[in-house]
Amino acid sequence: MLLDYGTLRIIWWALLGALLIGFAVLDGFDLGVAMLHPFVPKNDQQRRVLLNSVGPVWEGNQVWFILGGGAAFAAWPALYAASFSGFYLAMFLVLLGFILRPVSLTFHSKMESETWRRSRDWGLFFSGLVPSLLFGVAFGNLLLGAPFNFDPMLRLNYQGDLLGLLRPFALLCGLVSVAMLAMQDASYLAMKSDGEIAARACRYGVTAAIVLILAFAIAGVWVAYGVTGLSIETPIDPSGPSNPLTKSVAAETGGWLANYRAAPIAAAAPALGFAGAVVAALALWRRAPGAAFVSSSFSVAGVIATAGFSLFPFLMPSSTRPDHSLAIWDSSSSQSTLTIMLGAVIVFLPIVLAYTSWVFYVLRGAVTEEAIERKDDYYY
Amino acid sequence: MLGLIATRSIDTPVEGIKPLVAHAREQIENGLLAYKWLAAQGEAPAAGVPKALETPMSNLGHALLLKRIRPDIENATPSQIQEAAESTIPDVPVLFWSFRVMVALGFYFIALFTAAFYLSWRRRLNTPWFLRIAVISLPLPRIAAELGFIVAEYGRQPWVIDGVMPTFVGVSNVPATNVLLSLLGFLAFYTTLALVDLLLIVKYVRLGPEPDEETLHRLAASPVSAH
Repeated sequence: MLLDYGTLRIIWWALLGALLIGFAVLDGFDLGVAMLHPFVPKNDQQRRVLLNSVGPVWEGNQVWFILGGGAAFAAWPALYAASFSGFYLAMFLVLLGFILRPVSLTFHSKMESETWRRSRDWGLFFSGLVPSLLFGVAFGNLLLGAPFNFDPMLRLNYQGDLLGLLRPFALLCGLVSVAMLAMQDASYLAMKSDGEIAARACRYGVTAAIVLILAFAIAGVWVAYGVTGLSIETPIDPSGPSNPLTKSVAAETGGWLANYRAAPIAAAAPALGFAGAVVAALALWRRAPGAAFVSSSFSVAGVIATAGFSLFPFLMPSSTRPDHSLAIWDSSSSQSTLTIMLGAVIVFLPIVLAYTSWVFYVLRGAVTEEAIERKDDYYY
Repeated sequence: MLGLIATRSIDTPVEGIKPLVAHAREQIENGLLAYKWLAAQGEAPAAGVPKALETPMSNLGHALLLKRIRPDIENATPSQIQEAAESTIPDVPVLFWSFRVMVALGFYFIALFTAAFYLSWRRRLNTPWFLRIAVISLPLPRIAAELGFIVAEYGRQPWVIDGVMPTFVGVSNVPATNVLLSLLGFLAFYTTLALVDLLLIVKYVRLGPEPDEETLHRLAASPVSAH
């Protein structure tokens, strides 16, 4: 084995974060297009500009979600089991949104009738809003801890339900997520359109960025004064067996900030989250969508990394049995699995990144109403 | 099951099952040894598995088969072990027919596409009898896929991971109402989509296919068009 177990676990923790960020940066603007759909365009032609701004790329972007789920399944099986069973109905709603979105996209222009297209439009709105909100709610619940424990056979026992997820702090995290993805999309849309649509996208983008900054700041204060954070008390063996029942855990209000005291450099993540959003808002205000998209993407990365850094080394804390919380040292798959999968990532991730970049390069430039009118059948 | 895959004849699988049950019984007894040893470890586990228990350790999953009969499996009686061993017998007639129909369909598809290839090569793909058969064959791949699902998933029962984890041990504690809710949700959702799809299919069938190049050439060549 080239790498020891503990290092592999850190690498896979970072990879899971990177995949989530990749998903939020790319699929974020798909979800955003869906969310902004009832608001930005004012007529059917403009609606089709919105649809076609993501038309050729949404499918590839959505695969990042599957990749994230796949990485969790292969590298963090206990996390996969606990989150997919624990957030069962929430996951069902996310899936519903994910299925409804492509359907709304591809069916939109297939019929002329006004009710048809309106129902598709609101389908899109639902399919963008619900997953965006629930992703944030899920992260909020990770910080709050989820009600689960293990029996002696290491079988998972989950006590929560869907309404139990919708706690005030979690809903605030949902707002962070919705605002963040709306900002991400507004920047993207401003880049991919012109005239009236781009101007309106910029205005919505500025609002979304301001909401993001406020909500993210309130969430930070809340984490410091109102959320219980955990830390591992017993000695940690980074290469120990994957059994989450062998440690004991201390709980303390504001405990999630301990990592920033221990390693102040980690504060770069929330700083990036704020700075990226501020620059994105300014760039949108000055109608510089390219700069806005780049800084918005950095903001997205910063916000997600903040959640990861705060929780580290925990992946999924338990609120009912904190000792049973999943930490990266005790809930990974085996060393050989992590090694083989890392090899696959090293080979394939650059390929995926290369062709994704190539697709975006080929499709650069704005989608215009004239282009859609010229080749009606070609577009969504 | 093994006899089935080897597809010797109708009566061999029934013969082959008896030794399989005897083997399963042995594995369950072995697995129980490992289970009892693990249960005795308690708070301070030993560093390694004793040499004598290395083989029984790989049969741990078989011991778990007893959990369906009684929770305190270390006290299982010989007749209960026999009962657990017999629970490994799959539903032979269902698997027998599912597998054969699936394979028959597979051969049928090969024949169909050989015919399609031949007709396409002779540029006679629009032969009416062939088109009729092609339309009738539309649901068959779905049926073959479902039968394959039955062979793989139903045929593996009572295991969710063969020899490692019985299905009833692998079930999560998600409440049944939630599972029902998601099932009904998907059912309603996909039914709506199917109806919408049907609407669109009817619309596009009514529009008809775009004329191919040959037809366009013919139309262009004829001096007076019909309209």
